[in-house]
Amino acid sequence: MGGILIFEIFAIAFTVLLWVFMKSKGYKNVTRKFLILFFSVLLFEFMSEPMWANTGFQKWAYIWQDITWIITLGWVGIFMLTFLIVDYAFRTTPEKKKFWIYLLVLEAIVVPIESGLIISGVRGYAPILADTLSGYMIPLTVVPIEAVYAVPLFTSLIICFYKYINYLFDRR
Amino acid sequence: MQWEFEVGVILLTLLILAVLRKSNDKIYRRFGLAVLAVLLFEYFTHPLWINANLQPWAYIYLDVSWIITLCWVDLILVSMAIGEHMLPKAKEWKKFIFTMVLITISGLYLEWLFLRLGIREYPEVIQEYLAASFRIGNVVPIVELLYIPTFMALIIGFVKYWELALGSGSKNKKLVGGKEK
Repeated sequence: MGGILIFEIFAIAFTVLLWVFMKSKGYKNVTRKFLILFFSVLLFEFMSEPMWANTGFQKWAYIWQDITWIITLGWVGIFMLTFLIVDYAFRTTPEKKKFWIYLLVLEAIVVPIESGLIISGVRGYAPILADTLSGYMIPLTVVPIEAVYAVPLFTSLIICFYKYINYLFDRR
Repeated sequence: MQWEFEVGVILLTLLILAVLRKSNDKIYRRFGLAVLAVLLFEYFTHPLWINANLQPWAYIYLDVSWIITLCWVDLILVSMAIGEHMLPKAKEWKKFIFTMVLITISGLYLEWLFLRLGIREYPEVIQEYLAASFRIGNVVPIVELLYIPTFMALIIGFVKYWELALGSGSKNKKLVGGKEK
């Protein structure tokens, strides 16, 4: 329980720190971006909820079934960090190329975190999903090999939705 | 199930593309993006659904079917075209909302059709999940009212993002991530 509480506090603190960092650096519409990203991740989590098991969190961390806003917030932090890194390092790269770099960076960040969450017991796969997995793991992790392509698949949808909704707000 | 459904879907798709090509010279690009987005989604969530009773050639991987993909893509293309046709000068967000409403309504009918034809089934776990759920027309679980717009919002977002990113104008500079100051 203690470890999970630390994880929860870390997820919140990390996102708040990112928000403060972006505010202090003069980024526009920071709160709006975080809210849109939170909503984007939540949409996907809602759709795929029966496939996952997020267990052991504090009661206040759950929104619906086993969807927790802590995990959602964690994803928000990961996505936003990825955008910051890629947009800074590849500032002149066209959007259509940067998209693929986002996916690579996300994969590199997500796999070790997912591995840590599985080992800690807070993250699990429901039988409906586990039954479709090959049983092979990504080397040095406990993450199913299928994550190699599953992570880019679902992050693609979230990145595009987030960016498009931001675009709609900018053009309203 | 005979092959008429599959052939009907293919012919309908060809007809929709032929009609929409007149008003959108980039319709094949939109079609390709929509196919890719729906396939991504269907592949990722395939443990949640069973697409049954289609011809063997209609399946790509496990029970992911490109015929079902085409059904959703047709619905997306037509809804987007109607939105653009009926609200030509409206702001983009109004078109988006309008398209989402159209897709939700027509998507419920499509899901109803799948269930009625026996093409769509739910795994046992999902059936238990939906057991207490009210069913629209005694067939479609009420939660589809949430699932369809949720899933379609992600798909439309994907299509529109890539249309903007691949566009030659200045619009692609408006796609913001964490960077824009």
